[in-house]
Amino acid sequence: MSGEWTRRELLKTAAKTAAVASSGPLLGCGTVPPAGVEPLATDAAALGPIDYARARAVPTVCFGCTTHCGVVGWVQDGRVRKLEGNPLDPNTQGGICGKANGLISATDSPERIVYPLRRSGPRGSGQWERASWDEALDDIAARLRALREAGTPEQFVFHYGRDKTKGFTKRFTDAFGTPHRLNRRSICSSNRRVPLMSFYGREFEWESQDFERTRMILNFGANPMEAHQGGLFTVKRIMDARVDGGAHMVSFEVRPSATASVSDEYFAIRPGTDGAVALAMGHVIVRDGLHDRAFWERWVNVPFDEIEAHLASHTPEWAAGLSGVPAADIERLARRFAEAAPACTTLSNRGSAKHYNGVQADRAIRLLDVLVGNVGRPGGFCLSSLRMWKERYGQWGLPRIVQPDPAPAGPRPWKPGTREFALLPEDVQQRVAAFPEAWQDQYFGELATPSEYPLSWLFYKMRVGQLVYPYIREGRQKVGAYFSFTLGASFGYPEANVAREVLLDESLIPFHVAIDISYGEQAALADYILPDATALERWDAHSTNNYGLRPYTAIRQPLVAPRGEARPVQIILRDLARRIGGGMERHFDFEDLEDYYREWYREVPMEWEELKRRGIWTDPARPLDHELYEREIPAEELAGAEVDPETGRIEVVSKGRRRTIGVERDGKALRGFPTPSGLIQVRDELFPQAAALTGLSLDDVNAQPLPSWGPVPDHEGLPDDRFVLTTFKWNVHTQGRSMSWKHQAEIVHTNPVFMNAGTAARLGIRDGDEVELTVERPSHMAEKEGETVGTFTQRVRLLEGLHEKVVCVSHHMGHWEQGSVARADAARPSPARVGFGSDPASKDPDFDEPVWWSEARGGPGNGRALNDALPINPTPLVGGQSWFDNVVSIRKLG
Amino acid sequence: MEDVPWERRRAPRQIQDPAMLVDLRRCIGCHACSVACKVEHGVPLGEFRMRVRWMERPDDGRMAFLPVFDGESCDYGRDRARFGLEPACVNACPTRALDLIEAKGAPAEAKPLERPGSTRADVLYLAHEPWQETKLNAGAALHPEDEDILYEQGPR
Ligand code: SF4
Ligand code: SF4
Repeated sequence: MSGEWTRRELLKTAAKTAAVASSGPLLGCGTVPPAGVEPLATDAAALGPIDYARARAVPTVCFGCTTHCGVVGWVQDGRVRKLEGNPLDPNTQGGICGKANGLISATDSPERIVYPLRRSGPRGSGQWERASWDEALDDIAARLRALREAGTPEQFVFHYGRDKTKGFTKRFTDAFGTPHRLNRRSICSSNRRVPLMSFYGREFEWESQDFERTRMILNFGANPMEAHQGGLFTVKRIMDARVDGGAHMVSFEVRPSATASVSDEYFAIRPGTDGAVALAMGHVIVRDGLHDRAFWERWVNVPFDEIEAHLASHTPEWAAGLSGVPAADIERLARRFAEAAPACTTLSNRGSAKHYNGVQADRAIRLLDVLVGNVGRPGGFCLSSLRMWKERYGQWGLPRIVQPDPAPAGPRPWKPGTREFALLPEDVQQRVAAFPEAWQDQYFGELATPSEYPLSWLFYKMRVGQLVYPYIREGRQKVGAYFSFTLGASFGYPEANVAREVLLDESLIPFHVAIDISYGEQAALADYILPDATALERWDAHSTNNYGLRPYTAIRQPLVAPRGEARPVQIILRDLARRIGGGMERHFDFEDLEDYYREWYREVPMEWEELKRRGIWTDPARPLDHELYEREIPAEELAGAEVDPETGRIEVVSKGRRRTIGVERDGKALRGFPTPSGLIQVRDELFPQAAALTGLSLDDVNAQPLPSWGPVPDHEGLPDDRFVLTTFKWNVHTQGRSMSWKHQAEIVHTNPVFMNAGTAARLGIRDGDEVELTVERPSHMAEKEGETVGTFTQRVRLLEGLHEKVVCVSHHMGHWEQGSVARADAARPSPARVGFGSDPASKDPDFDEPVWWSEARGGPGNGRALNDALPINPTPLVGGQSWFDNVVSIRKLG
Repeated sequence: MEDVPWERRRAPRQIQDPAMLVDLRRCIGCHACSVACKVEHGVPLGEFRMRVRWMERPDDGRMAFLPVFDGESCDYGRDRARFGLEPACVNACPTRALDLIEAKGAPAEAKPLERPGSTRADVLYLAHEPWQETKLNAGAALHPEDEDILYEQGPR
């Protein structure tokens, strides 16, 4: 390889030849830019350097992914030129990731949709015509109004992928009267949230480890250095603790992720055995008397003897046999963890949780913190404020962040005797009729609250997104109108082909509206596409947990006006609500979104202009959120409270229901934990109860009241020629959505099959060989034995550090819609580019020729789509997709 | 009114003999630096002034991350220095693994990569390992066609 920079020149020639043949979708109106489109230069070189003396800095909240970091955007000549971290953000402390600036690509893309589009041919044909907002909204409102007037508002289904309007879309569905505001929580995180909520209470569905002060981190399958579930909030604190504080970090992972790679120790663990290792560590801690007995007796709902007996059989040797982690290491690390207490913490996420046994695995991991008593302590497993617009557990005196009045009431539960209940399939009616009344009060039909997965909605409504399309196909819910909002199910859900088949079937989905920023596989199957504003063009409220252990809140504010005719989703829904009428409009009585959000923040003790100026509110004078459970309950809250003499539980009766508000200890009324017992619920009868009511065997691992381990059914005795296929996301990507962001796609654009080098040698496979993976349907989901879901063909890349029984493929490549960058195919520009987009005369030369990694230029292309081949596989009771259980066979091609 | 960092007026940064200090103990391979550089300067696709290589460790098969800087096109953010700002890459790094310093103030253990032509001598790495040099192609440290251990960067 020579060092000459000649390739770009050479390939320019190739590009000219390749770009001519176009087999793009048929379009209703040629390639002439529509009137009123101003020319848009998106090339930073053409725009000239950023003049920091002149550019305006505006703090906002990033939406490059769902972490929501505080950022500062530099705006010059009406364009956002650069995003940097907001140093006032207590989570990131000023850092930013490799994805964030992709928002500029998304905002300025010459292929972005900036006009309402209406299909002008059969659904899915790619034939579109431009519609005016009035035409589009009138038409859509008429369809929706008809459902309401027919008394069947539940036939309106609003399904989102990413919604950070903090309740605005719920306002719309509640006002409309449908419970069907569906999400994708099961795709991402329900399996790791349920264990937390079961242990610590609904308020604490996400933890805030005190990494800053920790001395040891035991990481089971979390990947904060790359993944986007709050990862960037923790990276600086973790790396500071390691490098400056000498903290020891250990990762159990199936592949050498970035997090495993920066850890002090990495164990390539057999998939689905994290829980066994955690239980064995618990065994060692208890056996050697390293636990914190005083903490346990004060704060746990199980007598210590019971957990001691439960852990007795979970020896390090037992776990070593299952997991491949040597027993001596389990012993050593368990002791080291306990010795570091309370400045030690567990960390876990999808690696442990996205398995058949993943909910219990996370319960087992959480148990370690409780055993050593690090919960809430400095350097330990802390719990911090997630929500500020509710009465805060242990957080009295916080400002409230509340939606403006009047908030709509929302639909009634579908209890036996209601009209909706009578529409349910017979077997569902029987199941729901047997539920306790408190459960029935939360039941809203099978799409919103699937009766076989009650733990997906009993804590709060997490849904089971991957079942939405199969359930619609089975007729469990009739749909009159379906909205996709920033949703990529047709590309990214398991068996995404099922989503596409259902969306293409007009008898199942008579009307489909997609609200999105860019064209993609989901929008391609819509009847209307409504262009949303990007995160750089709109308002949102934001608050989440803070690893700095103080409540904070942030605002997203527009840096620039929406491109073309794009409109923020809130304005789209407001205008629809006004057109639908029938009382809906009362809840959307605002003209300006800034006014609306100013209302939200009215109780935050900071002037609105100052909040806009800083982007962040926090109160540095507040004590850190350590040991919230030890805080005393103020006397005024104790009026009328009763104390249970045996357990010390403090209860109040409000609205006819008994509610635990704290626990009495040493004669003091303490906050305790917001669980039914007021204590940490290491034992939770909800699991066997839910199993019994849904027909799951009480022997199943998911039915166990104490943290337990049982094998992933199909992984037991896995034959030599079968492997476990794990998926993952690269650090520069935010699932499939970012594949159209040019700088991010340039760094990672394709998805080889990663395979352990030793395994490959045994199979006679070499680096670069093409292989075919055949994915089996999990036996508990299969109708017949040996059923397969699909195949995936791609080249192999060998990796020494991967577990020998694992093959690993990233899942967000291989788009066939989205823009030309995502498809690495300039010969077929997105429909937005050909006639409807921002400006075909865009000055971004990066879009004028095929990207260098395109096949047209001899590159590897844009990867291949994997998700059609991955089975729909909800974890029992909770419904979280078991992404990492896939059993595959491998065949070498060619 | 209380100060916010981005409103501060700063004197131009003046560094006589600049060196980029890269603390490999802190780098997590996130590419925030290289993306920030490209966005700041409008670097076209196919070119990088600096970028981050993911390399497979020969000892345990895990990843190591190595930010590398091009000798010609990277000027350590002169344009931003005019406004008293640190280079785009340094500013972006979420773990503060990068810092532009006076060369004479560098810690003694910070060393450049020694592979001739593979990168520049004024990039000083803390905790880089000799094997990393052998895995860099000589000559074209930033070319997309480079051998890159993990990513598919183009035809091999
Ligand atoms: S982690 Fe996500 S929210 Fe945070 S800066 Fe990166 S893209 Fe933006
Ligand atoms: S931004 Fe920092 S941590 Fe990320 S790759 Fe660059 S140097 Fe490494």
